Amino acid sequence: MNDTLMKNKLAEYGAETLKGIYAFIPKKEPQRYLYELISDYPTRGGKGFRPGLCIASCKAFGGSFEDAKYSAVALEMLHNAFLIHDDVEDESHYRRNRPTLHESNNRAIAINVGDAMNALSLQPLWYNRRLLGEKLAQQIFMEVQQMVMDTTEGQALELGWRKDNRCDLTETHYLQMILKKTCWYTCIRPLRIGALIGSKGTVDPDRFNKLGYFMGAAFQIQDDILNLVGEESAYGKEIGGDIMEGKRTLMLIDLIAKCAPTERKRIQKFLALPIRERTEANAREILNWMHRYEAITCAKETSQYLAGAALKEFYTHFSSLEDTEDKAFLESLILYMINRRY
Amino acid sequence: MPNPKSGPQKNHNTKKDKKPDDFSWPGTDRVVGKAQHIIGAAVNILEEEIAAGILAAKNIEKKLIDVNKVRSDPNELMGRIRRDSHELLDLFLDAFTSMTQQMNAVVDAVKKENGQSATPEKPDEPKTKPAADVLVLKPEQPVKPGKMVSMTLSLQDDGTEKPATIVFRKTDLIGPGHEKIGLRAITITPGTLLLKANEQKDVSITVKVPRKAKAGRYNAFLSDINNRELCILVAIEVIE
Repeated sequence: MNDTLMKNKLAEYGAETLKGIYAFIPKKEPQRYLYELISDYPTRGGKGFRPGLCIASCKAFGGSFEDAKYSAVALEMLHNAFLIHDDVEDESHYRRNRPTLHESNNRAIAINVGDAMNALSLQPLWYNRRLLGEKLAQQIFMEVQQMVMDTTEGQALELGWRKDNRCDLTETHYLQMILKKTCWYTCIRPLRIGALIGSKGTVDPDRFNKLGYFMGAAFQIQDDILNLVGEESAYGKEIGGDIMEGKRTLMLIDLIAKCAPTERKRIQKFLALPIRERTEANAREILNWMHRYEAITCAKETSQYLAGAALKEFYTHFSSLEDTEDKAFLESLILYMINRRY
Repeated sequence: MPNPKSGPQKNHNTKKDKKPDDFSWPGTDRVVGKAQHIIGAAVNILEEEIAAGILAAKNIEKKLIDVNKVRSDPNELMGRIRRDSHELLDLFLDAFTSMTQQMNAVVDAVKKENGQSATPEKPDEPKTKPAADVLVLKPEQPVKPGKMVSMTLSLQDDGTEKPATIVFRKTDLIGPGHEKIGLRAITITPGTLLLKANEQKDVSITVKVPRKAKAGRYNAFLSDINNRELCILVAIEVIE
């Protein structure tokens, strides 16, 4: 496993993408409550996972960084716009070790900044016309459009579950939800877009659906586990925050299925409360049950199985390509998930 | 959901019934079974999701375009493309007409503000007046279809630069609605001329109005390909 390569590549592509984001932010008023805030989340040191996948996939299929740069910028802008709106919707307090945008400003300003970032992300996609030609630029535009729709559908599913206080969910529901909410925009579309650009539109992007789905699902489950067992400084959000928010994670779904009826009732009651009225003591109790019923251990295993399946898919579709740093980088991302220790 | 009480656990229990020499790594079956279960579920979900996406996209396409009808009739398809192209061209022409009309209005307003007559005094020698950066060339009398009208444009070099070569470029005359008179109806003599320092030369501009031209006001732009500052609006009025 080559963790150094993975970290270096993520840092390199993340830094280049950040430069690209800055280039697209208008240098005009209003700065204080809009344009300055657009760069807030991107500069908080995210992983740069999506642009990294897009650029590496492009290069692995014969393209260059330059070819993928606008698409990578658009993906990262959209990701940060999603985060801003997500934090408002989830009433989150912290993002990457700092107060969320709506906490440091207010909800109205945060929503408006997210809207602006969504609109701003169209610009690099428009610039793709010059870089890649009309046909490929249009294809990428439609990939992104579908990606945004899928993500909002996934978010709607989860928000609906919370509104209706659904406690009858299964693993299948969870896998459906994260496919829509996370996998399309975190892995599947970045891989597809990168491969389309690198191959100049000749590759069938559907080849990467399973790889992206397995990777994305493993990534999301591990991210949710970190929210429960990680160190707050490393994770950047309040530990156990997902329980407080009533997020339907694989661990919560598993716990509700396994626990005793009295415990299930207590969980249901906790989840029925408005977020601000939930207590940390109750959240800690639920976390303890997750440990006791091995919901966290099971989720770790599930994420490893998914990462293993992703590796198999990776070898199927990338083995025939020339051995390059970017191909090794993609492989190392998957291996990292398989071997992850918390 | 990973659940030790579900299927894979059962498989594990059946191993207990096997003989001690039937070696297997403890938990292997459970792991394989659970992994297969998860991956299988994920693959099914992905396939269903993609199928649902394709269906939804087809339904939208069907709502927006009667694809089958269009595909089954190539002539209809070509007709549609032509109609769309014409509509696009019409949009462009309308925009152009609107622009020239607005420019005329601005020119007239500037003339009025300067206390100048909106029409030249001598019918055969229309005056050229600078308005913003556009010169307006306009005969006093309207012209009938099938007739010709000539105007003279006097150009003088300002003497501050090198001798200038003027090469005229012209556009169609855009009329009311979708009417237009092709640029070939406009004759510029000479089409190219050299102006030395402080030299003055006349240029004749003749418009031959086609017999089938409809009544209305028509505008065309003349410009110098070497000098963007020189821009002339030719405005004629066609009457029945």
